[in-house]
Amino acid sequence: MKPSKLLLPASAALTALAYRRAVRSRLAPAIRIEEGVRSRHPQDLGRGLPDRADGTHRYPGRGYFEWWYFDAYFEDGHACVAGILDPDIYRLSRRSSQVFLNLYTPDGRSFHNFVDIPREKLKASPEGCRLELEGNTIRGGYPEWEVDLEHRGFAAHLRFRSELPGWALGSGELLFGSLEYPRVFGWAVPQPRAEVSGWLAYPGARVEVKGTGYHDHNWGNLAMPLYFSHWHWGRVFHPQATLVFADIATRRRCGPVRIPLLLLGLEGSLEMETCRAEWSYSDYRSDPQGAQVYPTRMACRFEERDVLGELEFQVLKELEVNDLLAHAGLPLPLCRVLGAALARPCYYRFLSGYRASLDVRGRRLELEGEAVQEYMIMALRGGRVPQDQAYRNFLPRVSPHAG
Amino acid sequence: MSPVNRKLLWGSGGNALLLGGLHRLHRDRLQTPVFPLGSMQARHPHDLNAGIPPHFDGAHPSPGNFYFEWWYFDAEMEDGHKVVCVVQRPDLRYPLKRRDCVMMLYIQTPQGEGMRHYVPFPLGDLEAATATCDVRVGGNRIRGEYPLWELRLGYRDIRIELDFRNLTPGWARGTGSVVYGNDRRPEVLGWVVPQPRARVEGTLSYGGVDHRVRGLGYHDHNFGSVILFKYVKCWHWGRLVSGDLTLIYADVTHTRLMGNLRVPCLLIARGDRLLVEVGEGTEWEMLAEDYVPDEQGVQVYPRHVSIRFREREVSGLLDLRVRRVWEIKETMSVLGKPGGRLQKAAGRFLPTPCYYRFITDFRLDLDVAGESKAYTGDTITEYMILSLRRGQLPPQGYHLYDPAGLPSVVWRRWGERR
Repeated sequence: MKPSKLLLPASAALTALAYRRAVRSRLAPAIRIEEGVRSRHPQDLGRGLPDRADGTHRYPGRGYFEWWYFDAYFEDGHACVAGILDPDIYRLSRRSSQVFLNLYTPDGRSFHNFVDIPREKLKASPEGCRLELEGNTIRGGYPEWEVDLEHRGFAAHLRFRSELPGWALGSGELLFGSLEYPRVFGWAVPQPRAEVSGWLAYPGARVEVKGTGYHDHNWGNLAMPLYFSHWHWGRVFHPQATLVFADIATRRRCGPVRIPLLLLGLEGSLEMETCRAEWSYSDYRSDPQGAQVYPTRMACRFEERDVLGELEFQVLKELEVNDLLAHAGLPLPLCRVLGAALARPCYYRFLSGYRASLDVRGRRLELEGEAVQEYMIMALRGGRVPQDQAYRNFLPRVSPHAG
Repeated sequence: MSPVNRKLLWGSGGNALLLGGLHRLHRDRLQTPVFPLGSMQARHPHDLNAGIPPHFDGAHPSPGNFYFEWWYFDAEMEDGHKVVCVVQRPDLRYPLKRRDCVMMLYIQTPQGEGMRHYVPFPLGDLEAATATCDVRVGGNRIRGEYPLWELRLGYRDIRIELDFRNLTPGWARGTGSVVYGNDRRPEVLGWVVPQPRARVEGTLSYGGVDHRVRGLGYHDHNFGSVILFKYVKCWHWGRLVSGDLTLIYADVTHTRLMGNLRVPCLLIARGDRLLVEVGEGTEWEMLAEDYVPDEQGVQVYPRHVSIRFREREVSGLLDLRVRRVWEIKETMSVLGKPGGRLQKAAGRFLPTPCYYRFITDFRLDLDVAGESKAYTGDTITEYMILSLRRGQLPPQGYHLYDPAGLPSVVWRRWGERR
C-alpha cells in the first residue's frame, strides 16, 4: 500500500483524537450532591481559614494564574489598592509577575502603578502568605498581614489586622468539569474586614494612615474567558455589618449558570454564607469610552439559615474604567472589531450607594452608606446586556421538591 | 485542480464532517458542571440533628430506562425475631425485564429458621406519593414521616404489622441525591436514612400464631437513575448496633472514569443524637486486606477491614473481621455454573459483579472529646463488586481528604505527574 493512502485515515484519527482532547474535561462526568452546599453553622464559620489557603496554588499548565489583593480606605480620605499578580494575565507572554499599587488622594488624584517583574523573581510559599518580589513583600497569617510595596517614589507600608475570621466556600475552589480533568477557580477571603494602619508615600507626600481594609486571594488553572461571561463583586462595610459578595455568570458551556456567593458578618463574627442569593441588574449605561455597558442598579435578595436580606446598590461614580484589550496594547479599531465579533473585556470599579435590610434570626438591621464594587466583563460582546433570566443557579437540582 | 489539491480538499472536508458528527454526538454531554470543592464538610452537630423533611422519603420518579427505587426496613426483636421488609421498583432481580415491582419479606424465628418471600406485582400496581413516604402495592402499605413509620404488609399466612418510631433524627447529605454527569444529563444515585435507629413494636403473624414483638430497627431509602457500573467499582457497607451506639459506614470506590475517587461515609448516633458524620476534610483511612476467593470461586473478598477516622472531637478505629460468608449473589450464572470454565475465562476480561453479606465480628474503639470506650459484637456487613474483573483488587483510589486541611484536586491529578 502506498503511504499516501494512509494519510486520510491517519488525519481522521488525528482529528478525532484532537477533538477528544479538546473536550475531555467537559465530557468526563462530575460528582455533586443536590443541596449538599448549605451555609455552615456560625461556629464552623468562626473557625476561619488555614494559613495554606492564602499560600500559593501554583498549578502546572498554561492556564495558571494567581493574585493577592488588598485594599484600604482611610479616615483622612486616602485609599489604596495593592497586591501581586502572577503571572501578569494582561500580557500574552505571561513571562512577568506584577506588583500593582494604586493610590487615591483626598483631593481626587489617583496614581496607578503596574510594575512588571520577571516571574522567576517571585518567591511564594504554598504554606502561607509569604511573597517577595524584588524587594516588595506581602506576609501574614490570621490575624495580621503586612504589605510593603514600593515603586519609584510610591510606597505602601500597611498592617492589616483582621476584624473577622477568614472565609472561603469549602476549599475556595470551584471545580469546572470533572475530577478527572480538573479546572478550578479559587477565591479565598482571608480578611473580609481588617483594621489597617501604616503609611503611604507618593510624590510630594508621606502620610500616616488608619482605616478599614480587605484582603482576598484568587487563583486557578483555567482560561477565564472560556468559562466566565462576567462577574460582579463588592462588599459593604457598615459599623454593624460586613457583607462580601461575588456574583459570577458563566458562559453557555457551563449552563449558563450564576454562582452567587455571599458572606455576612456581624460585628466580629461570621453569621452566614450562601450561594443562593438572587441578583437582578438594571439601568445599563455605556462607559465614557463607549467600549461596554454596565448596570447602574443592582439588587439582591437572600434567605439562608434564618437570615433574610435585601440589598440595593446605585452606582454613584466610576472609580476605574479599564478596557482590557486596549490595556493589552491592541489598537482601538481592532478592539472595536474584536468587541463586535467576539468579546470586549472591560473592568469597572464603582463607588455605589447602598441600602440593606437584614433580618438576622429576628434581629432587624436597616443599613445604608457607600460601598465599592467591581464589574468585570470577560466574554460579552461590546454593548451587550446580559439577560438575568437566562441564568440559573449553579447547584444541581434533580428532585421535584428540592430548593 | 491538481490531484494534490483535490486530496487536500477531500481530506479537510472529511475532517470537518467528522468534527461536526462528533460534536453532534457529544452535544448534550458537553456542558461543564460547576461545583465548590471542599464544601461537603461534616456538619456541625446542631445541623446534623436537624433531621430531614418528609419528601426525602417520598418517591423520586425519574425519566429514563434505569430508574430504580426501594424502601428498606429491618428490625431485630428482643425475643430473637429478625425482620427485613423491602419494596422495590422495578424488581432488580431481573434488571432487563422491568415489568414488575417486588415486595420482599423475611422473617427469622428465634429458633433461626428463615422465611423469605419475594412477592412480585405489576409495576403499575405500586402507588407512591412524592411528598411523603406513602407506598401502596397490592393491599400492602408503608407510610410515615418523622417520627413514626407504619408497615402493614402480608403474604399468604404471613402478616407484618410494625411501627417504627425514631430514636434519632433522620440523616441525608443534601437531599440524598448524588448527581453524576452534568445538568443536561444528570444521573442520580440517592440514599437517605430517615431512621438510623428506631424503636419497633407490633405484631408478626405466621403459622397461624401472632407474636407481639419489640426491638430495634432501621429504615433507609435508595433511589436513582444511574447505571451503577459506569461510575461505581465497588463498595463496602455496614451497620453496627451496640448498646446506645449505632454506626453506619460505607466506602465507595468509583471507576476510572471518575478518577477512582473514593467517597467515604460514616454516621455515628449515640443515645438520641447523631454524634458525627464524615465529610470532605475528615481524616479517613480504610484498609481492606487478607483477600480470599469465595467458596464458589466467583470473586475475592477481604476478610479484614479496618477504618480509622477523626472528625471534630470524635475519633475511632473500627476493626472488622469476617467470621463467615452469609450470602453470595453473583450475576454471571448465565455463563454456566459459578467458578466454571466459561465464567473463569470471561471473568479475566469482563467485570464480574458479586454481592456478599458477611457475619462479621467488630471492635470499635471510640474517643469522644477525650473519653474512650470500646464496643464489640457481631454484625452484618456487605461488600458489593460491580466492575472488577475476577480476582481483581480494587484500586487504591483517593478521597478528598488532605491532611493540610484543604483538598486540591488539581494538584493530585496533575501536579505530581508533571
